[in-house]
Amino acid sequence: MLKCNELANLASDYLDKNLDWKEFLSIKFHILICVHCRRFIRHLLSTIHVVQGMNRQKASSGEIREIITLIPEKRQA
Amino acid sequence: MMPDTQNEQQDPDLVRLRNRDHQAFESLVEKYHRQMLVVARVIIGDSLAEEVVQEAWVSIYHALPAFEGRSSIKTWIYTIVSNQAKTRLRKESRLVSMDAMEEEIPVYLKSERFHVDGHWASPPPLWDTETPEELLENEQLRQCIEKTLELLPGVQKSVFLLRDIEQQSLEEICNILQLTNSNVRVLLHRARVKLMQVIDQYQETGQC
Repeated sequence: MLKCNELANLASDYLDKNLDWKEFLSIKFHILICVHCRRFIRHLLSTIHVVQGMNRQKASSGEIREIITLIPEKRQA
Repeated sequence: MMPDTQNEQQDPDLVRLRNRDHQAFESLVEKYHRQMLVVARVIIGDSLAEEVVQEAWVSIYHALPAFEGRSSIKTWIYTIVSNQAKTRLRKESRLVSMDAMEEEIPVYLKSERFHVDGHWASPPPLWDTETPEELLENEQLRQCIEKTLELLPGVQKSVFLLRDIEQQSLEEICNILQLTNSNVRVLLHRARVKLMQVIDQYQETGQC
């Protein structure tokens, strides 16, 4: 039977469906009976969604200008 | 926002990019430049990353009219910067430390967190707020997460960004960063768990 420490290492593969069916079912079964691991998986999923919901880092206007000046046609324009 | 693959042929943003529309190109730079730097740093190192990314933008600009849309525009862009960085690495005969797996293991995954029988010795604490929407409303927490993301080791940050933000497949990430599938999966998991620890810490103490 799968142990909590093993599940903690496989949690991302479980969420990303990167496991074979035996491993997948072992985790499914484990989280049915283990409240801590169920919480671990739930918190990990929330974390991914939180970061996805944050604004992505954009280039500054200075960085954009620097790139544009490297393009010959743009420089002449 | 630019959609992926199939719809891209008709995507007005892409049509404008193929015609080298000035504003569309600037938007592309604005959206991907920082992320390209993260990827380039992993392959070529800090000192040459900026130069490589600038060269990649020039290549992208010239290649845009020929972009066929066989992959998504972002996969195409990341592949170009990755190839430029790899070529430069060969030219410079440089050795960049890519021993990604030596990076620190998050506390959650360390053996001290578990009893000898594998059960949790120190289980995940309860969170007062659990839904992503509620968590995102907390500005201080957002800043803590941003800071942690910024401070993640380069390879971890790059894998996390490509997978969870840019939604690239594991196979694409392996190609872009020259890592094995198992290394990518381990690095991704470590990055996610480190970010989760920040929320744990914040919920317990109200601080980063």
